[in-house]
Amino acid sequence: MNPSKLIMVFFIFFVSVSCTPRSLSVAQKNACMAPSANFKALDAIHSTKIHAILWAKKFAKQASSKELSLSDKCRQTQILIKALYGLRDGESATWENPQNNTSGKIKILNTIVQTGIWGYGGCRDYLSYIKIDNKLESFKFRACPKELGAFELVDSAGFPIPGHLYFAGWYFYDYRFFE
Amino acid sequence: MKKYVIILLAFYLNSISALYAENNNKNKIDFDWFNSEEYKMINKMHDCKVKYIDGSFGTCNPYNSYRNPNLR
Repeated sequence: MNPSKLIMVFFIFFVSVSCTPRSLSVAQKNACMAPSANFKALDAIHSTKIHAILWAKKFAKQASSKELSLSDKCRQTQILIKALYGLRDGESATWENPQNNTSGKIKILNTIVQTGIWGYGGCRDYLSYIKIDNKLESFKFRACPKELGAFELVDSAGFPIPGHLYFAGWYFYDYRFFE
Repeated sequence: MKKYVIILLAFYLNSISALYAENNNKNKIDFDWFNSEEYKMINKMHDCKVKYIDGSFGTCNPYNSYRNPNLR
């Protein structure tokens, strides 16, 4: 390997370990880690595990796009915890912050009841909506209890996909990989 | 060359966003989040461990019982 390539490899390594978005670390410090509220940053970090180059684009995208304030991230986290631990399938929880012109919603879709070692028993699929200045974004996640046993699930193409996050007793997976 | 430019751009934009985050009031919570039931639940579930009948340990997430009917 020639010196310029070696320098570039070290640079990429440095960027990958130091680029954890500041807003994400603030959200983490305050336990406001709802995956939908931090999605772009989490998705960029997630991409470093499964893509060779795409993660750089995602880091650029998350850095330049508008995101929720910390308070709104905490509101989204609040209804997420309320929904995952307290709501039945089909029920939803919402929040609204007129001051920032933002709102959010979590709707529990279904809970997988499956006994035995294999399968997704205990996992809950849910939809998450975030509205910033009348621009609506929707996300779909699968939240699984930690005892599922593996942080990686096999996607629809047969590849192991790591979760986006472990938080509050749940692993969170981007549902797009499993459709 | 293109990918190096993208990486440099990512690094630059990330640095800029960090500066913006430091300089505004975005990082203040405007409601009583730390005394909410949900915040307490997050902390409880993060550290909580239970011992099952078979002697193994797990987290307190009640949805574990959907995998193992013995926990219901």
